[in-house]
Amino acid sequence: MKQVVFTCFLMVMSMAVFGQSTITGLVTSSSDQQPLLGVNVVVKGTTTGAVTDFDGNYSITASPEDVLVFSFIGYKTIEKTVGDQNVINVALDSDLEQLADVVVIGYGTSKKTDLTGSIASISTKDFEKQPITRTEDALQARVAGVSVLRNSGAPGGNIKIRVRGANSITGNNEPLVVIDGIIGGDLSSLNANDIQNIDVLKDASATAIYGSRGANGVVLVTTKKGRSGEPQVNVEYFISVSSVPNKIDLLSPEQFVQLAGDPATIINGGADYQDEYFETAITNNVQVSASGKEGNLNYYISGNLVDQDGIILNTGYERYSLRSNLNAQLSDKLKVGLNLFGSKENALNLVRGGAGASSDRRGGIVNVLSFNPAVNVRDTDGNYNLQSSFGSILVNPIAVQEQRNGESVEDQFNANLNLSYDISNNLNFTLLGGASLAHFNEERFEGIPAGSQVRNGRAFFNSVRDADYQLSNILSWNKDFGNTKLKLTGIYELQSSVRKLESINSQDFALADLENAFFLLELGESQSIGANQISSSIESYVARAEVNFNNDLLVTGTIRVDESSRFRKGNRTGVFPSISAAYNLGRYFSDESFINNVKLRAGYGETGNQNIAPFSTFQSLRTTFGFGFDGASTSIGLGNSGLVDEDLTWETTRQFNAGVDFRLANGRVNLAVDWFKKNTVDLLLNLPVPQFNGGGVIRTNVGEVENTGVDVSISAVIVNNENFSWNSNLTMSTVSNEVIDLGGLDQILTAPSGINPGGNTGNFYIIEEGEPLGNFFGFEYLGADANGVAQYSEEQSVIGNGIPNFTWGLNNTLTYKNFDLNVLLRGVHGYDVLNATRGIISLGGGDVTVPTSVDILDPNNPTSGDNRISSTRYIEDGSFIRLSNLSLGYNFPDIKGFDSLKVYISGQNLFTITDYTGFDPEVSSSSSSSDSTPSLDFGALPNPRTFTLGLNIGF
Amino acid sequence: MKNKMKSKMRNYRFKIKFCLVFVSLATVFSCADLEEDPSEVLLAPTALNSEAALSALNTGMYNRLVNGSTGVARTSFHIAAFGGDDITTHSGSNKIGFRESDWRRQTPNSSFNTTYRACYGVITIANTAIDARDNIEGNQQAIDRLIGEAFFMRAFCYLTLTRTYGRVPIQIESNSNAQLSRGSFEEIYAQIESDFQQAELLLPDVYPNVPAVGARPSKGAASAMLSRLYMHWAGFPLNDTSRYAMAASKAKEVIDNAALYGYALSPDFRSMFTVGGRFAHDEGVFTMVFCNTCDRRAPNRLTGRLGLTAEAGGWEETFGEIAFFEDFESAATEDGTLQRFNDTYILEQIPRGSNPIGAEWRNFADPHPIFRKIVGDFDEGVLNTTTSDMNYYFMRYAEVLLNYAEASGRSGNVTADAWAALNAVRSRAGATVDLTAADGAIEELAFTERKWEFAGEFQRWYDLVRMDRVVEAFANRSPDEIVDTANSTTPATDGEFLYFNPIPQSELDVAPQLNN
Repeated sequence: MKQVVFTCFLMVMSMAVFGQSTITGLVTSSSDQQPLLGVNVVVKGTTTGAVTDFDGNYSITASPEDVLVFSFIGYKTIEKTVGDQNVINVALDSDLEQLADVVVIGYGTSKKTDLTGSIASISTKDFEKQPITRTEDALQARVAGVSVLRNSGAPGGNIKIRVRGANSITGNNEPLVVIDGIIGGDLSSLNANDIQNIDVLKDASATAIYGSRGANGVVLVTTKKGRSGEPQVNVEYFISVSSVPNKIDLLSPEQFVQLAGDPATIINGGADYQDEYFETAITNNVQVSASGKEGNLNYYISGNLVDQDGIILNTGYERYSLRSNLNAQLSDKLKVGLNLFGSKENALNLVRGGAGASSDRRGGIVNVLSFNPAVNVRDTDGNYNLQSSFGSILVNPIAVQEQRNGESVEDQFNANLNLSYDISNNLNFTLLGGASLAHFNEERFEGIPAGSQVRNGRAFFNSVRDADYQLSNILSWNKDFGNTKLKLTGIYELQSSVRKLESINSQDFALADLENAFFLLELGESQSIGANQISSSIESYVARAEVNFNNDLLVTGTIRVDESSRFRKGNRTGVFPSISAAYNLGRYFSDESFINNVKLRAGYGETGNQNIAPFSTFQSLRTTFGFGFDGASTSIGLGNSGLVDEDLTWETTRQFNAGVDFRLANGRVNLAVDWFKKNTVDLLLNLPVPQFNGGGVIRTNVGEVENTGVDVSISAVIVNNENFSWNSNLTMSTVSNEVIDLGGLDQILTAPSGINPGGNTGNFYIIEEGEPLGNFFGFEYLGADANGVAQYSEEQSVIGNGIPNFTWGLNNTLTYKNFDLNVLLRGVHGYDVLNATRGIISLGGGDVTVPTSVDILDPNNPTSGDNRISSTRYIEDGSFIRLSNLSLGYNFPDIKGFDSLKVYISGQNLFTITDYTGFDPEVSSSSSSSDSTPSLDFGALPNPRTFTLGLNIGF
Repeated sequence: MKNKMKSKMRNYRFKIKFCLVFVSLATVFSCADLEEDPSEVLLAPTALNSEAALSALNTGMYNRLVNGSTGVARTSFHIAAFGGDDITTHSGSNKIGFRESDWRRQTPNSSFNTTYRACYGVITIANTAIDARDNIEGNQQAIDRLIGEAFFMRAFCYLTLTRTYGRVPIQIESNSNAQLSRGSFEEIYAQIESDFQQAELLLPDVYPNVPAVGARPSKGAASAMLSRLYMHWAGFPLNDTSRYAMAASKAKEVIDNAALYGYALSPDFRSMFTVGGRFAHDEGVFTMVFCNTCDRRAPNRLTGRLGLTAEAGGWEETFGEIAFFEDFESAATEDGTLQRFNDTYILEQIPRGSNPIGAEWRNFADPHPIFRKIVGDFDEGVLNTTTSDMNYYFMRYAEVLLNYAEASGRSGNVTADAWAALNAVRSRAGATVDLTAADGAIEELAFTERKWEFAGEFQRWYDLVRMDRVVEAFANRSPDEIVDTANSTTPATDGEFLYFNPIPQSELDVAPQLNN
């Protein structure tokens, strides 16, 4: 009996022993099939457990009747009965309630739930449904408080990004771009597909870590890394067709000739210059990437080719880029990463970053619209009709554009090395070294130069070489004291940059009919040369402390000391502190309530702006004042280059931010509201100098500008069924701007440099105390009198404002079975545009002898008198709502040989609801770096309407 | 165990290596160079210590005067002169700024800032040069000449400014940002006088290495300019008639030393207004030389198509006035100076556009005579361009002669030399019979002679102002002159800016104290 019992026992035991087998498997994320590291796998009801490794693999001993519980933060827990399986692969669905993204905060990361400042994050999934060629497009309308305006429709043109308005009147207001920790990156050359995350630091408690360069907000870009699992290859291709969305109504050749009167006649049938100038443009975009992990090495490599035609004749843009991001775990403690990025951009006939279409600011689109429509581009012999006495006095814009070859080539190479060493469990040292080299070359030949006279061809060869270096030493110490967690970070950083420039141009070539003579500059009989070097460096000490009390109260303090070479000794050192705190009220809400959590945040910080050119505090003599006394050759001449303030120093922005985050409906709805107030003092302000003192400006530290506003961001999972889901994301921002102090001046009148529509040399923007930046200054238009003479008010006054005060974006992604649909709407409101383009063509004046617009036929409109461009006649409401993107995609399920296969069609800029009568209310002819002279349409290049067909393949 | 050991060793090695890398990197970068050294790329004002640097600074003054193509080279530089009864502009299109000056209806907003900006640009450099005087080392003779030229340029620019804008602020310090108010005419004239006197002392009789006399100023040019200054000082607005004697005496000094200075009337009047003839005469007292093909391109943009009618594909910027043309024609017929009349206007067929005939200007869509002095020589092809190398004469020797004749009369000291001076100009114009006291008062004969001699050269207006004859001249306007009926405006006969142009709005914006 005893034996029987024993035997039975043995049998049971052996059954049990034999029944216990090793189960292995791979845990992936259901959304992107990427392996998950660190997933807890536990036998239910026991303490037996395992954790997935780097490759998402686990191994656990369990019996067939056991139930395995897979749990991972941010994902829904899954239970699987072992049964007779030896391999159990699991795909975890992400759990919105638990989703705790990691956010890059500058020199480190933080869990989203631990944030105390105002930081907005977007990741690939937020913009992957929209075919984009520019990184800036990924940010557009997706981040509350960040305004991204496509200032120009030129491919490769500048895009205006502002974080919470403009601080500085004459300083630069572009946010700081930091790519993988390297300060001063360039978004335009970046391959948007390489981006993993973009985090925008908005308030000063977040940006103060970047001290003297943080005042305009900071855009942190993190590029992709390879992840564990099978090597993954993605190929993406799209082709787009773009065209100008609308045309301006102009007089027909017959109407124009009638208006111009004798001796104007129709020559060779006339022409529609808009049709001649604009064309349908094709864009090809190919992107290939491979990523994965082998042993201790993970890799992400990619290549991208963009080949984009412009919607203007003879313009275009190409970009080639390659990236290799390698990360190696050399030991338990030591990690090394090397990111290499090379790109080549080639813009064809891009002028002033797209702010205009012609080297002569009166040329381009203004000239297209004002050129005599009764004169054909060419005469009956096929030669250009270069000029006309009626309409625009400038040289035929088609001839200029066709006979121009301007290649702007920019090569960039960035390398950054990231060494991370865990000195102990709590202490980490990271060394970040970055080098960025850029070489810009402009090779330009103008066969028929733009201008008011027919001139010989001219050629330019300009070269700029940039070398930037950065070394950051980051020491961080982490300690968990039970309820209290403390993290301390100390940084010592050096950065230097050198720019070397040379420029040569020549004209009046000894040999006729040279083409693209930028390589034959020496044949020009008049030549001019120049060279320059600009260098600067900055040395910084940074400290940060982050304290987490019981996950309820979070406090972050930072301080940065910057010493900049741009200022003289004594004015060189800037100290930028910040403090912020957040309090989680989660414990006061039960899990069942509609409100799951409320987090209160508040912060204050000081940041700086040192954005002035090196040597700005030194007076110099200008060397370009030559003159030819003998009427044949130039003697070298010198002159004054303007007054300087030797005591120049930082511009300082003090920002207070208060915010509240709500988590509602089990995390299906998240709402964040932030209020801010920014005061920028000691402005780097260009005070105008009267001509009798030499003219120009003196840059000094006076004045104050205030920005206040609210950022609202709502994300909601509206429907989430097996077959249908609908995610929606709404961002809204308001900013109101006020000039508090102008250092004793009542007002500063200004105009964008070099732009004087209608030949009016006056100023048409005004900066006044108590008023916002961007006010238009001009005459009130009183209509036409009985004789058709335009009448205006006697005095000039503020006639509008060019800075939008409310922007919003609504991004919807709907998926139904294998279809997905993305709709991105955005709105920009509360601003005016000075439609100088319409102004120039509506009544004679300036360079236009006879107007070309149909406006002149309206009996209510004037037919003579002054054509004052800066008048209420040409001020228009610029507000618009735009369908930025509409994409419909289909994901083919289970195609053999492919991991994924998707085709999509998409349209950008399909419609715009606006009262604006010009081409596009979003574009401006003033430089994208200017905030005191915004929203001026003087031949600005419209954004195209684009249709796209794309294919994404994953292997 | 062994493995553990190995791994520890590895870690240890890594630590050392790692520290070495860090230390070496940190050493390389540890001292960021925060001191800027502008001397690498900038030329500091302290570099102004040599004759060569001073010479370059003087070159810079001419650059500012011609200002690329937005100084003297532009019609807008001569904006005030459109008030003269010799010159008018197109009645519509984009010429409103010129027409408002023509009719003396301008406002600060419609006033061009070309003259203002170019002249103060020169003055700013001249102030720097004059202030650097004591630091300059080199050949003293050369330094004196260059400093003398700086004084001349400053005085010339203040004279141009006050003739255009009346009372202007006087800045003679370098590197100052003082908020100045407008000076009085007395202060401005005294400053100009003092500078020209300095120039007289320092400048040589003949400026070396010039393509023709007048391209850069000599002692004679300073004296000649003083005579011009005194003509204004004696006339409107100060009417200090004692200055006429000084004007006469300065002019006489120049005439007496004409050979020394190298001045003479050009035997070929027309040729002075051609590219080929620009250096082939000795009449320039102060001349703007242009260079269309220079590396720093500085073409004359007053010429060619600017003066042509639309029928000849012109820009219609500068035309002759009708009454002036008619008076000129009858006076020339009477005086026997038709040669000069023909040199001044184009009467023959113009080989451009629909080949209109100059004499038939009454049939043009915009019926005005066309200046040959503006359009230039057909064979040289200037008429096809808006840029040329034709000279612009700030002052010709003929003015010195006529200043002398007129000032002699107005100061009551008429001499045979004064008549000879007047008759020299007339006879060069083709007159065969000399004028004498029997023909009238020499001052009025000389005043009228200037009218014809300098027609279309942007000079007549200043004579009308100094003699306070603006309204009188406007009353003589031809009834055929196109009146802006569409805008129902007519020339002003009074008002704030009848005599002097308003200071440009862009400057008033920056220095509102100039409103007073």
